[in-house]
Amino acid sequence: MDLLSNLALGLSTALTLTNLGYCFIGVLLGTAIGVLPGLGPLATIAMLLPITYQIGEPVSALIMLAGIYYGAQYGGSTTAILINVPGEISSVVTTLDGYQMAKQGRAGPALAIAAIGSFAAGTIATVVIAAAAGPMSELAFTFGPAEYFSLMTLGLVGAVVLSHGSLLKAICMVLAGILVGTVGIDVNSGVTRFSFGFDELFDGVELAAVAIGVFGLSEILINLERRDHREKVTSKVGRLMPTKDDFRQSTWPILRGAGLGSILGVLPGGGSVLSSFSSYVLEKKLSRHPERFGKGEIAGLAGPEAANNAGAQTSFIPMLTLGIPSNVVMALMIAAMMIHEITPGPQVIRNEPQLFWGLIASMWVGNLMLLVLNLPLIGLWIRLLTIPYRILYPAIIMFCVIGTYSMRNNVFDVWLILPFFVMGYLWRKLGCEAAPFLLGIVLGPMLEKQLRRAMIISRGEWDIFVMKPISAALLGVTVMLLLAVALPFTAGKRREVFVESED
Amino acid sequence: MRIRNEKDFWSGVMFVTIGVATIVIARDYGMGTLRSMGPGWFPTAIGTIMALLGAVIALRSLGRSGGTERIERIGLRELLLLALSIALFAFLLPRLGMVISVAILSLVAIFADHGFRMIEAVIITVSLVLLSWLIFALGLSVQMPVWPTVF
Repeated sequence: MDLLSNLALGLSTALTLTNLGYCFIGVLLGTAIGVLPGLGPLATIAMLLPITYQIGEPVSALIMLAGIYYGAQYGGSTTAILINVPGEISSVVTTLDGYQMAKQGRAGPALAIAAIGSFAAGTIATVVIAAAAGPMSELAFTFGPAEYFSLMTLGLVGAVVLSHGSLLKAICMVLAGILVGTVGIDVNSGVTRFSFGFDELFDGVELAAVAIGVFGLSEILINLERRDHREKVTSKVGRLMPTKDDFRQSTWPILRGAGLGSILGVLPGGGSVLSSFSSYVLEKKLSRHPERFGKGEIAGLAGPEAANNAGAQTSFIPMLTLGIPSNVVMALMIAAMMIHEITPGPQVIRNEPQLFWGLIASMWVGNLMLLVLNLPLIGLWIRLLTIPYRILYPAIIMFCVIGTYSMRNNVFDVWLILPFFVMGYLWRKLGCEAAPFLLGIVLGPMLEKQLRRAMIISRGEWDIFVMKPISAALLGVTVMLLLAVALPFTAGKRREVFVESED
Repeated sequence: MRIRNEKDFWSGVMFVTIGVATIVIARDYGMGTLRSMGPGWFPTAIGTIMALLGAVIALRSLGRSGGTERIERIGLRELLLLALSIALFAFLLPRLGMVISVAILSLVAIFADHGFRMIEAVIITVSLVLLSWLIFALGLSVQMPVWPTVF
């Protein structure tokens, strides 16, 4: 069977000593830094991205980066449970019941169920990726420029719909990103655009420097301002092993969460956030005692944690098969692939089967490592949580700047951090989200390329985008999404969901 | 007329500014035709949409429907000090090498925190220099000057 032989090829790549090592370092670093106060998964990845550039083999670099990603996410759940601080929006749901469990002295079982749920979901998601990737990339080969353009538009709109500020501002942030993406030499005409006289900008802006500026460093400023608002660490973790009852109550939520997350993760703009929210709502609906949710109900923790991880993993599918990032983390993954001169897209699975399947298999291996590694290390994570922020942040800055320098051994990229650091900080003050901006930078150049190609094919007629059925369908969904958010009824609902999440 | 929603108003102004600036700069790049788009076509289109949406955002912030929101205090001192620490690092690294640049970066950055103590600052700085040397110079063997090159 194809699926099995592919997974076997993947495992044989992922299980080499080198790659196991990188996977291990990735999940360990990811968890450790994700646990540290004030560093969410995005900042963690942005900060560690330059270091993965030092790795020679592209597959090893990607394996490590993926490990950092789900390690950081797991670290985020840990802080959500122990100190009620969600690392990112997707672990907001974890705080609802997870922190309540910790308050009741059941932090141990909460952490264990989170890890077991994530692992189970990761296993299911790995199979889903393996099964879906082939057909998806076959489909992608039939895509022309018009289809790609419409798909990317849908992806960007999807991402915007899920961001939790004003819709118009988020769209403008995407546009700003697209503009930054046009910096550099235009391949069609050879004209240099928006380089402001800097030769270093001919190849465009270095995405890692931008990410470090808008996510890593501006977050430090925000944290310095709201110091001393941290909740107390629950020092009593209690026994780790969940009871038989806990297992019985979480089995179905985990399975349902994994299924839901696997599907939602593939959607453009989907990924872990949508998955964990939907799973929480679903479990609350299905539960015989919905009144216990938010008071330490284990189903309200197990389902979203599983969904979150499954969604995070299946969001690799559009990135690997279509070359389109469905969220910011995937955009950073694309940046890492480009550095190693691999252009993400349907050809990857054909030309680099080892890289493709190796990465997928490594996610399963990495999840297993997280499970085996994290529960015994929980004492260490708790100690990391107590490190005061004033000691941490100079180290974070040091890592960010030397890391950025090390990518091309060039201080220009360090200078480049500065404007994006200042902008990132001001954007937060203005309530403009940086995630759509980064997606815009990555998708912008592709969007322009496909638009120009499509218009050449159609001899300058716009109707090519609606004459092609797939393209028309994708644009139709895009318009529906926009309408759904803009209409007053659903707009209110959307606000409700996000407001609930911010309490 | 009063600005009810400061955040939206200034965001809108920012988007209009970027949009218009883009359109102006992109005029030099050549628009081409729809059939064969020049390098200026795409940025101009994006800049135009952005300026229009920005104007809508800014105008809506004046009306009742936009809600009232003030911009929180901007921590200028912290912002400037952190920016300075990065700028100094970028400026000094090629000249004085990693050890001195990291030390200065660390001291300036620590100064951004109000509650810093001198002894603590020195300890953090020394450990950071050691750490950066261990990880980047020794571990990852990044090509960069470690000590001042003048000597």
